[in-house]
Formats: sequence, C-alpha cells, structure tokens
Amino acid sequence: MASSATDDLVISVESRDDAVIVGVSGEIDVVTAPQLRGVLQPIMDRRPATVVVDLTDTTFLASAGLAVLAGLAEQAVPDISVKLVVAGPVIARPITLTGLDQVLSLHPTLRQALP
Amino acid sequence: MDDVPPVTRPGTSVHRTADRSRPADLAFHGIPADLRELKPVRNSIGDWLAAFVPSEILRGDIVLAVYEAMANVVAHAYPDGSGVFDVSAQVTAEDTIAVTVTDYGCWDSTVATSPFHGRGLPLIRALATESDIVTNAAGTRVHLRWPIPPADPRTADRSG
Repeated sequence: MASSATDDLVISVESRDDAVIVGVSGEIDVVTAPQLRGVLQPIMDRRPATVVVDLTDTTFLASAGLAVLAGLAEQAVPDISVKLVVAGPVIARPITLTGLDQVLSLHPTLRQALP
Repeated sequence: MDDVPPVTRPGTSVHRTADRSRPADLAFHGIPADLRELKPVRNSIGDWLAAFVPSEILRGDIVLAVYEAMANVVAHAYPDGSGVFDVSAQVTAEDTIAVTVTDYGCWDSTVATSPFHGRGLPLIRALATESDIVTNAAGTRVHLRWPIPPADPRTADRSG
C-alpha cells in the first residue's frame, strides 16, 4: 500500500488481485488535482483489469478533478474497467451534471465496486 | 527610492442589513488572482451559507459554482501577470442568493475561444439556477443566483 499526501488531499493505493484501489480523501480542486493525476497515470500505464477510485472520503470535487476522472474514461478503452465509489450527493452532483456517470460506473460502496 | 507601496491583503467586510431575518452580505475585495487564495474564500462562503441554507446539496452547488468562477479568473483573466478580483454574496429581498465574481482583466483569446472553456462553464451553468457572464473592456462579471427554498414548516417556527 502506497500513499501520497498533502494537507488537503491524501491518496492511498492498494492492489487486490487484478484490481487497483485508489482511495482519495480530502479535496480535489484545481490545486490538488495534479497530485491525483500523478498517482493515477502510472497505474493506468500498467493496464490493470480494474481501477477503482474510491471517493467515499472526498469532500470537494471541482472541474479540475472531473477532468482527471474523464481522462481515466478515455484511457480505459479497451481493456481497463474504471469504477468510481461515490457515497454522497455532494460528490455525485458534479459527476452527474457533467455526464461523467455516462462513461464511468458509479457505486455507492467499495464492496459493490469490486469485481 | 524605496517607495514600494505596502502589500495589502484582501479585505473582507460584512454589512448588516436592515432586515434582521436576512443574513449579512459577504464581500471580498482585492483577492489576489492566485490559486492558493481560492480555498479560504470557498470556505467562508460555505460557512456563510451554513447559517441559513439547511440543504447540503444546495450549499454544495453554490460553493462549487463560485469556486469554478474564481478558478476561471485565476486561470484566464490575467494572462500578462498578476491581478485581483472581488466576490460578493447577498440574500436579496426576493429571498434569492446572489453571488457576483468580478475581475478587471482581459481574457487571453489565444488560450481559449471563450472566457470559460473545458468543464468549468458547463458546470457553473448546471449548478446555478440563473447565471450570466458579462465581459467588457473593464473586465468580466459573473452573476450567479439561486432561490432559497421555503423553510420546512416543521422547523420554521423554532425561532419563535
């Protein structure tokens, strides 16, 4: 289990079978979004079967973060299944309002997101 | 010689309204167009809303829309260097939350075809009940509005 942390964003990475689980705790805004992209890019480059981005403990999601998630959807084709764990309405709102839920699957809990 | 003007911090002022039931206006003047300045303003707006907007979803919509408007100012309004912007928030007599983000820059047309590009503007439009953006030679002003939902009758008479 690896982790990347600043005051505002703590990211943990855990591999479980063919899935990589990225836990994102804190605020994904224009300042912290590059940190998230920096953690996710090498994971996507390894082409695991499943990448789960767990936003359960994410408290703020701005368009800079949405752009990172949209990039995952583009890079996932054709062989990676990318799943988001979204527990509450405040994080679900920007995802659904921008149509990201059409290209990434949303799950209310980590258990339900795991293959 | 060393006639460098003192660095001024962004000013915050709170104006009392005549109507005691209406929350005080919130205003920030001269915020430096710097990404690090956005979080404290965002938090202040969230705190201001918490006093009279019970809906977590509505508070989230407002805070995110204002944040996106501010982030666009920082990203695009001052392509040639530093600048400042203002944010004001008030509850109008019509029980509408009105937020204005004003900058004094010029949008860099070589970077984008419109002041807002990417996901920021569509997100602002989706989040706000009403939004309009006015750009002229002096700068750009983003107006955002949300009606306050009627109070829940089960809790409305608590204040006596």
